[in-house]
Amino acid sequence: MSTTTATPVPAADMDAWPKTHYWNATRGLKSWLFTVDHKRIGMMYLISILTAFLLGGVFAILVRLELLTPGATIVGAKTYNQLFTLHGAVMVFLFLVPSIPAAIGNFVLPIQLGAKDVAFPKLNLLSLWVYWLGALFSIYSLFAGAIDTGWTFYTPYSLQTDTAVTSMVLAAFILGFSSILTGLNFIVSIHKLRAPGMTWFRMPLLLWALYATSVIQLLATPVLAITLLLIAAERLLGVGIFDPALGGDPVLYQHFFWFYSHPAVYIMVVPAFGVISEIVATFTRRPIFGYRFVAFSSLAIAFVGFFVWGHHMFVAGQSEFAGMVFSFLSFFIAIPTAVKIFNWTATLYKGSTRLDSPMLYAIVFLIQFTIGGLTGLFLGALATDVHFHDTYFVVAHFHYVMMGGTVFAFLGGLHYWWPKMTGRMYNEKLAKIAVAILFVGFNVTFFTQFILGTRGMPRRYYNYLPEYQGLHGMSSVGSWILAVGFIIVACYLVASLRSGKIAGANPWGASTLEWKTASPPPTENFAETPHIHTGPYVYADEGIEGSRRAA
Amino acid sequence: MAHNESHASQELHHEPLPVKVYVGVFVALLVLTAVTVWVAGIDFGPFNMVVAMLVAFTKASLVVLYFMNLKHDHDRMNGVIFLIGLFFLVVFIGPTMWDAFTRGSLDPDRGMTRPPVTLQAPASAGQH
Amino acid sequence: MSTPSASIPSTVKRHVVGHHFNNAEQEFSSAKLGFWIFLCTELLMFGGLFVAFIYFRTFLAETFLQAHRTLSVPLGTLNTVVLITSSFTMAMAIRSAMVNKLGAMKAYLWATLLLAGAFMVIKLGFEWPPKFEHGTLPAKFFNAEHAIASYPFLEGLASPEIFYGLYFVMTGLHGLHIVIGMGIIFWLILRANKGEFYSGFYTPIEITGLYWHFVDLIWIFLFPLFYLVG
Repeated sequence: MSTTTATPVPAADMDAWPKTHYWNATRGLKSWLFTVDHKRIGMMYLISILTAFLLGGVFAILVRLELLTPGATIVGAKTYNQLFTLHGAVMVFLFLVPSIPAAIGNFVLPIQLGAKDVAFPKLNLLSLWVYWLGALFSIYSLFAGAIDTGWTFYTPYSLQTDTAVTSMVLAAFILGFSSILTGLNFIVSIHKLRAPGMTWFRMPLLLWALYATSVIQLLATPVLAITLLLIAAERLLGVGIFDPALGGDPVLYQHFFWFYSHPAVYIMVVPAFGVISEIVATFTRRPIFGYRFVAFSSLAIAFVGFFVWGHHMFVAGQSEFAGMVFSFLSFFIAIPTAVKIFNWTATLYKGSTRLDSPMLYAIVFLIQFTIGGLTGLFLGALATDVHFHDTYFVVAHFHYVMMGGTVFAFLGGLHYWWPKMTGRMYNEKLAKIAVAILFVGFNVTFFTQFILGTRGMPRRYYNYLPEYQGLHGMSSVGSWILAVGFIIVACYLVASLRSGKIAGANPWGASTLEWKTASPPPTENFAETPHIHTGPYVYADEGIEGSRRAA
Repeated sequence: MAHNESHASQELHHEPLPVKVYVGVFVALLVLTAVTVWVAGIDFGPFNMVVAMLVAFTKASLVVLYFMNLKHDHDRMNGVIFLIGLFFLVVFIGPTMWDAFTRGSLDPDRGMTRPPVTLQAPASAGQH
Repeated sequence: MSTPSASIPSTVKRHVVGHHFNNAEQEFSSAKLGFWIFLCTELLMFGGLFVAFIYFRTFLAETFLQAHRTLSVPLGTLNTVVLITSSFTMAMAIRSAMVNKLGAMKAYLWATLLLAGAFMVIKLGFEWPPKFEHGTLPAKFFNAEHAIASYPFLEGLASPEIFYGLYFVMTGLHGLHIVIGMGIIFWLILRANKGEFYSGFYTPIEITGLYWHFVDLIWIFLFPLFYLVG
C-alpha cells in the first residue's frame, strides 16, 4: 500500500517517538519567530487563528446573551451593534479566511507534495507576520471605538459613523495581504514542487481544493483591498464615489464589496471540502469516488463563484435585470457542490467505515453543509429572497455553511492531523462526546434561527417583538451548549500534548504522503525525496475491515 | 569538471534578446506616446475613448510582450495568468456597468435618481 | 545577433540554489511564476479603481470632460516619457546582467532610480501643488471659491470633487508604487555592489523589472484617461 519508493524505514522506528523533529530541531523563541519551516509557521498560524476564534466566540456569546430578552439585557444598542460587527469581522477576516489554508494547509501541503517546503519559505513567514500586524491593528481598533457598521461596512453609514472604521478597514487590508501571500505560495508550490512522478491527477484532493482556494484568494482579495482603501480615503479625504451626499453611489460600493466577499465564502469553504475528501478516503479505506470530478469541481466552484455576487444585492437598488441574471447564475454553483456531496456519499457506500472522531466531524459536515447549501437556494431565488433578505434566515444559512460546514471540517482536520503535527493521540472518547455536544449545540442555536427568519425576525436588530423571545432564548441556550463543546475540545487537545499516546507515523492507516514520515515530521519532511507511482488513495486492503493503528 | 558540472545547475544560463529589440520597443513607445497626445487633439466624436484605448493597448502590449518578455517566455503559464487576471477584471466591470445602465429600465420609480450635486459659485453654497 | 556572454567575473558571489529547489532554472521560473501571480493581484487592485473611473466617466461625463482640462498635458506627457525611459533602462539593466556587463548593469539601475525620482518630482513638485492652490482637491478639502475663480468652466458641474478624488487616489496609489519601486531598486544597487548579480543569478532584478514595467503599464492607461480624453 505504499505509494513511495523512498528508502523504507523499519516500521519500528516510524512508530516510535522521533529523536529529532521540527519541534526540537532548533530551540528558542527566535528560532520560531524567524523560522522558515512551513510546519512551524503552520503551528503558529494555528495558535493565532484559534485565539481569534476564541475572541470571535466571546463576541458571539455576548450577542446571544443580549438577545435573550427584547430590549436591553446586558448592553446598550450601540454596544450591541459593535458586538455583532466585531463578531463578524473577527470571525471572517481573522479566523475563517486563514483557518484551513494557513493552519492546516501550510503544515500539510508541502509534505503531501513530497517537497521540503513551500516555494517561497520567507514569504510564508512574511505572511504570518503580516497576519499578526493585521491582528494588532484590529485589536487597536477594538479599543479605539470599535466598529458598528456590520462586517460589510456598507456606505454611507460607514463613511459617517464615528467609530474606528478607518483603522479596522486598514486592519482588514493588511490581513488581505497575508491571504494573498499564502495563496501565491501554494499555487507556485503545486506547480513547481511536486515530487517526481506526482502528476496533477496523483495529487491528494486537499491540494486541488487548496489550489482552487488560492486562485480565488489571488483574484478576489485585491478588490477587497481597493474597496477598503477607498473607504479609508472617503473618510479621510472625501473621495465621493460611494457617498450619495457627494453624488456618489452606495450600490457601487456593494458591487465592489461583494465582488470579493462572495468568492470569499468559497475561500472559506473550499478548503473544508478538501479536508473532508481526505478524511472520508482514510476512514472508509477507499479512493474518493469520482476523483477527477471532485478535483475539477473545486475549480468549477472557484470559477462560477465570481459571477454571482449580485445575489447579495437583490433589494439594494440593483437593476432587476442584473438581479435576474445573478439569480440564474447563482443556481449553477449548486452543481459542482452537489457533485462533491454525492461523490463523498458514494465513497461511503461499501466502504469499511470507521467512526473515529475525524470521520464523525465529516459526517456531521455532510448533514449541516447540505442544509446550509440548500437554504442558499431560497436566498438565490429572487421572489423568496425579497422576504428573507436581512432576516435571521440569512444568518442561519451562512452559519450552517460557514460554521456547520467550515468550522466542523476544520475541527475534523485538526483532529485528523493532530497526531501528525504533535506526535500524540488525543482522548478519543472525549472527542466523540464533544462532537455530539457540538452537533446538538450548533443545531439548537441555528436551526431556530431559520424559523425566526421565516417568521420575519430581522438580522442585526437589538430589539425585537416579544413573540420572538422563545426562539431567541432557545438559540442562546444553544450557544452555551456550543461553548461547552469547544471547551471540552480545547481541554483534551491541550492535555494530549503532555499525556497523549504516542501516535507513530500512521495511526489512521492513511495513504497520502504525510503519513509516510514520522510524527512529528523532521524539519526536511522526508529522509529522501519520495517517488510517486500511483494515485493518492491506494489501500492494499481496500474496503476490508480493520484499521492499522500503531500499537 | 565535477565542480563546474555540479555548479552549473546552481546557476542560470540564459541568452538575452538583442539590444536592438529593446531600443526598437523603446522608440516605438515614444512614438506612440506622441501619437497619443496628437490624436487627443482630434475629435473622433463618440470614438475618442476607443482611439485612445487602442493606442494605450498597443503600448501596453509592447511593454508586456517585450519588456516583460512574455513573447519569449518558456513558461506559457505566465501569460495565461495575466490573461486570467484581465478576464476577471472584465467580469467585474461588465455586470457592474450593466447594472448601472439598466436601473430603472423595468420600474422607472426605482431608478438611479441622481440629485444634481452641482458646484456653486462662491456666493451661494461655498465649500461642501 | 546575441552578444556572447563575457565570462563570469571573479568578484561575484557564485549563487547557490535554495535547499528546496532542484536547480537554478526551477528557482528562477518559480520566482517568475509567483511574481506574475502577484501582478495579477495588482491588476485587480488597480482595476477596481479603473472600474470606479469608468463608472463615473460614464455617468458624470460632462464633469470629467471639463475637469480634466485642469490637468497639465505637458507635464503628464513628460512624466510618460520619463517612465517609459525608465522601463527601457530597467530592461537594459537585466540584459546587462545576463551578459555579465556588470558596470552597465549598475549604471542602468541608477538611471532607472533617477528617472523614477524625476517622475515623483514632476508629480509632487509641479503637478500637485497648483491643485492645492486652486482648491481642486477631494471633497473634504475642495475649495469651491478658489476652484471656480481659477477655472470658471467648473461652475455648475455635477460633483467635480469626484473627479479630483479619483485623480488623487489613482495617481497617489500609483505614485506610492513608484516610491516603493525606488526603494527596491536602491536595495538592488546595494546588492549589486556586493557582487551578488551576474549571468548565473539575476532573479531579483528580473522580478523588480516585472514590477517596474507593470507600474509603467498602469501609467500608460492613467495618462490618456485622466489627461487626454475629452
